[in-house]
Amino acid sequence: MKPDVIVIGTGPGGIASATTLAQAGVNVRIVDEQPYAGGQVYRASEKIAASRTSLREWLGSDYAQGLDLIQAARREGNIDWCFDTSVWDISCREDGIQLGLLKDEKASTIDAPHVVLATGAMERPTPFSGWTLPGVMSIGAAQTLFKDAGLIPDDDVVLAGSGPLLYLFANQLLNAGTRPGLIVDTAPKWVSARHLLQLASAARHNLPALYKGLAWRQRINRAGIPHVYGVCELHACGAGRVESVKYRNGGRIQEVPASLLLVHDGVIPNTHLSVAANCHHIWQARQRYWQPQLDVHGQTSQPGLWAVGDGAGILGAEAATLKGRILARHLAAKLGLISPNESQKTSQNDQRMLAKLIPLRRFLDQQFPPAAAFREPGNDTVVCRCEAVKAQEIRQIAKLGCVGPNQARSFTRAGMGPCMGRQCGNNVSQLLADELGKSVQEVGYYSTRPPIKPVTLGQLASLAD
Amino acid sequence: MFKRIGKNEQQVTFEFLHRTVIAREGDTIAAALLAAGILEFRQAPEDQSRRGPYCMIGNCFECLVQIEGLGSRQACRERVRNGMRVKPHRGRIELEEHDET
Ligand SMILES: Cc1cc2nc3c(=O)[nH]c(=O)nc-3n(C[C@H](O)[C@@H](O)[C@H](O)COP(=O)(O)OP(=O)(O)OC[C@H]3O[C@@H](n4cnc5c(N)ncnc54)[C@H](O)[C@@H]3O)c2cc1C
Ligand code: FES
Repeated sequence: MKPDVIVIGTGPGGIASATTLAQAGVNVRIVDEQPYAGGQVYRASEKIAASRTSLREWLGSDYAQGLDLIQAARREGNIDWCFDTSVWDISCREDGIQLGLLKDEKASTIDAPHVVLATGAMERPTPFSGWTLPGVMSIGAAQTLFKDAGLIPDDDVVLAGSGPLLYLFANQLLNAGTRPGLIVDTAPKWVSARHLLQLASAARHNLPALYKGLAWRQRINRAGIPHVYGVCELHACGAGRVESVKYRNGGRIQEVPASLLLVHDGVIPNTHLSVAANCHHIWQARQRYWQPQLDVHGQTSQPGLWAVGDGAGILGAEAATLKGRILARHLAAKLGLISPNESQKTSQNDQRMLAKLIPLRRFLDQQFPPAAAFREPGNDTVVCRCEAVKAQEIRQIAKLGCVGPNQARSFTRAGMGPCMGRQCGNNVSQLLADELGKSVQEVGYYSTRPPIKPVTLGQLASLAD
Repeated sequence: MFKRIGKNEQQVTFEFLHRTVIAREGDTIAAALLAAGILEFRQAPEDQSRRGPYCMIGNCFECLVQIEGLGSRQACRERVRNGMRVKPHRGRIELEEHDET
């Protein structure tokens, strides 16, 4: 059956939207390139629940909640699940939104009057010297291996960067019996006086979550994991693979051996589809990311295209769930299945819960800003990994009069490789902005044209079948 | 580097550069190679530097490998199939020769 709404992404934002839409009688198709539901946070929930391992306990209670969310969605008959399906194209037309899909080597198109982007986040790809060496990975990457394949790092692993995901992962490792060799923290140890107001407000609205974060830190402490704070420089060193990690702590440079360096510098919205759909985006200067500009209900600047969850701005999994439900009720009212009044009334409680989450997020944003240690990559640091373009080259072309990322792309090839600028885009814009003395909003972002995922000619040819 | 949790019950095997790699059913190629201690998946075309998976969620394309019959693929997104033949990338992406099989 032709869907009324297509949801892209089976993380908490997408699942909650689809469930509430289906409950209101809407025909929903939900698409994800993963083989299972859960998104980044609840990845492989059903697979892990069915396995006889302790993985689920090790991952913790927040992770376990994901299964309830997924199972509730599974009970809805109006949801058509499409796994292993990538969305590689999007075009917004007057009569609806058309998507290009790829599954089992076959390309196809599908359209619907409404599409919800619930494509989530990615880790901020912060360049630092040596970050292209094999054995340097993101913390989220290691966590993905943990959830999806039951792989855990050995004891000498070094964790570096900052943010809640770093502490959570260190706890998950301790649960699994691995002791990280060192934590190199780019955040300060204590909350600075400037952020105390935010901290107080977060505590007033959401004490349990704040307490959880503190408990993670305490556990790391009690386990005796060496933890250095306020680190302001990081290098991965080695010939052909990472062998040691150097960092500057105060005036001193220290070096420790490591066979695996896992880094994390917060998460940013995955906006590839909203950029390809030509939606307006705004630059969030504090958190240094682009997010699609949305109206109060979550509609992008393209009519019929909606965004929810971390892909619309980082608020975390719980907020993604609440916002997903609220958006779904609004859409159900738009489709005439419930009255606007009912939509508003039934969303009141979710709105209240959402309001409680915001102060904690504001505090986290302040306490864990993108690490200054990484913000200004050294001239020799590779910024575009695909084409091995260094920071120096971007700075140089800015001096020569390059005005924006699209020009920089043709001058240096930065952003032309297979990742299509996913890794270097924000960094190139930031470097140009710094060099030109402009804001990132003024400098802009790479324009992206479909396909946004690699599609072979053979796969494209199957469109004609 | 990485170790496995639990027993490897459903084994599948594939070939990476003439080496037989034992994987678990449902593994991505990247997970299976990392579990086998292989960190280097390719060489960057520009400067021949060695590269391996970075993000594991399909964004960085550092995990590109050549799969016989399929061509260039992201090892973090492609699942292992028994008997698959996989090679690292060297230089620019090669076009797959279709009369190979
Ligand atoms: C690697 C990683 C690990 C994380 N781990 C945690 C954690 O343990 N705990 C926590 O609280 N937060 C975690 N986060 C933060 C995360 O952003 C959560 O807040 C939460 O997952 C956001 O939910 P969401 O519904 O917005 O999107 P997500 O959960 O990210 O789900 C988005 C889904 O969209 C799919 N998708 C995206 N683009 C396409 C496309 N073009 N075609 C098809 N499918 C597509 C993805 O495959 C994914 O399943 C993590 C983030 C990352 C990047
Ligand atoms: S590891 Fe980043 S795309 Fe595969």
